[in-house]
Amino acid sequence: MAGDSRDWRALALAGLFLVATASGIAGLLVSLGAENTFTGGHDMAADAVRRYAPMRHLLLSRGIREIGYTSAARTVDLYRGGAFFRAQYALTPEVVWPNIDREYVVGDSISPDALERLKLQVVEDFGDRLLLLRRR
Amino acid sequence: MAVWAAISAALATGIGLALVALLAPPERWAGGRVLRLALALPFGIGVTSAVFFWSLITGISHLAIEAVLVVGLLVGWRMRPPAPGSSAPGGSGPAGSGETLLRHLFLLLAAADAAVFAWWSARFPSGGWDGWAIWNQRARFLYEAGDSWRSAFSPALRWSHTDYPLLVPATVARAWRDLGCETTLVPVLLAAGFAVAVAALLVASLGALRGRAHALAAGALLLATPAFIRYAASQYADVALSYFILATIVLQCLAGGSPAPERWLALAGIAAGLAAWTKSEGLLWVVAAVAAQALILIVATDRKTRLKRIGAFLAGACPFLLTVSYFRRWVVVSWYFLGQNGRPQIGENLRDVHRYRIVTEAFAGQMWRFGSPLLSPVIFLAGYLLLSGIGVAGRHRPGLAAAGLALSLTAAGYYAIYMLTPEDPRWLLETSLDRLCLQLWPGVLFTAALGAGAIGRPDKA
Repeated sequence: MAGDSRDWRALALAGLFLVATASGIAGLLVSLGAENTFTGGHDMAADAVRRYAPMRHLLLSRGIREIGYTSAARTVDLYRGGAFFRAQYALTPEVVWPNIDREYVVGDSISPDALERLKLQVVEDFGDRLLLLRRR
Repeated sequence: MAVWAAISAALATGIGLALVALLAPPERWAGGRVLRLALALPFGIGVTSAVFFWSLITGISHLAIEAVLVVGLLVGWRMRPPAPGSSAPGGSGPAGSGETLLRHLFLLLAAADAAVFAWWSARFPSGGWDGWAIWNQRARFLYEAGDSWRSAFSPALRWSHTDYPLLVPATVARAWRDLGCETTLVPVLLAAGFAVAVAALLVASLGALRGRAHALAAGALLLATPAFIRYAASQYADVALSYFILATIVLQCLAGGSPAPERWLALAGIAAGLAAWTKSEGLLWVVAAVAAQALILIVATDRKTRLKRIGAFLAGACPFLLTVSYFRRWVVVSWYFLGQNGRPQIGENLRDVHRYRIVTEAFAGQMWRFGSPLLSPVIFLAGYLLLSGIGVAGRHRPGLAAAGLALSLTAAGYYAIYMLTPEDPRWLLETSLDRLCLQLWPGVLFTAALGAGAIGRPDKA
């Protein structure tokens, strides 16, 4: 009887670990799909580094170490701050403030109306909807 | 620069190996060398990251400090009094059919995980969200800002948890400094190294303490946890923290069966200290590990032994706790947890029944949601324990009790943090609970496998 019980348990354990393995591998594949949907298959940080490279070069060459950021509002809503976080990563070692309270400000996909409303003027247009702005 | 990079890597490895050689009693069991390596390399990384931080503070070359340190450790190792060897049982003997199946499944999962890690890292070399927004960003500041490295902790960057300690970013920045260039290969290799170290330490330590079948079972359950490899490839520090939590537990358990327990406990203290130097949650782990150890020792030993053992643990943790204290007192200028949305409303939150419900439901939900978008590995762990039963050997009981208590206290601490935070608990739970559970998961697997009953051929008691 004891031998039967051991055989039964060994068989059940083997089955359990087979299912765990299959589930683990299938779960990995599902995770890959989910991550691709979220990022669009891109390395968002590397894309930002490429996009901000000319601005970063200009800021470092002018000795500017702190800068503001806006895409429309006076302050960035940090709960929806993805684009701002990417800007900070790409512009490091610049310190990017989540508001427009600095002399120079990053204008990320900002509309002409917002520029007028926030009293900002364009210093340099880097293309790809990226502007270096200055407070008027 | 290649020469400096090679020297830098050699120093990190040398410090880890010398530290383990100095403190760990000589092993007399199969897999002892794998266990030493699985301890030495992450310990070397941890120590050199702290040295790099102090080199930023003092302006002294980190390579010079590390060279002195490695020489000092080697001299200490040569001069130390001989310790009786540990006699943890090994996993020798012929493998049963169940063990062979487990080995095949473990290898299959290791291959699948390695392939996914490589694919993920090739596609997203900057890491996942927290990987680049917190850890790699901080590393870029430390490397690129030169003398202005403290700007990494500007109040402007409060959203990126500037109060988080620096084991991961300092390691990455140190490697970039010695290589002379910034490459995503460094954080990718660091993440891979910690993932391999977690699996190797789990399997090697259980192989020594409980036998091969349980070691492979726990290893398979770890590798069958998609979140483990996803967060590793995303370059999150949670995997590194999970390593140091697991190492603390393993070393405390090795102390239980050793004629020289203080040496293992000093190493356990180093592991706990490095946990605190990895992430803020690591500080909670240190408190939980010390409290659990003290409580078990009160029951099991006399006062003198108790003081010696707790003293050894704290002596190991001390250099890293001092580093964290200095970092928090003199470098960090703003705290995200307490500062983002005002002060925590402790009294109000503790009286909020709705908040208890939200947090409790989220914690309970981890039983079937943790770690996988399909079937949670917690379900398989429960099945494994149900089928193998419980069978704790007498000499493992104190270590097992301390580990279980420390893990429970830490989980309770996480619960309290969700209760007290001024942030929206739903948002916080959704974005972090899975990672916090992952920090404890390898330790839970080790504890469960150490306490499980016999499977396959009669294993080590």
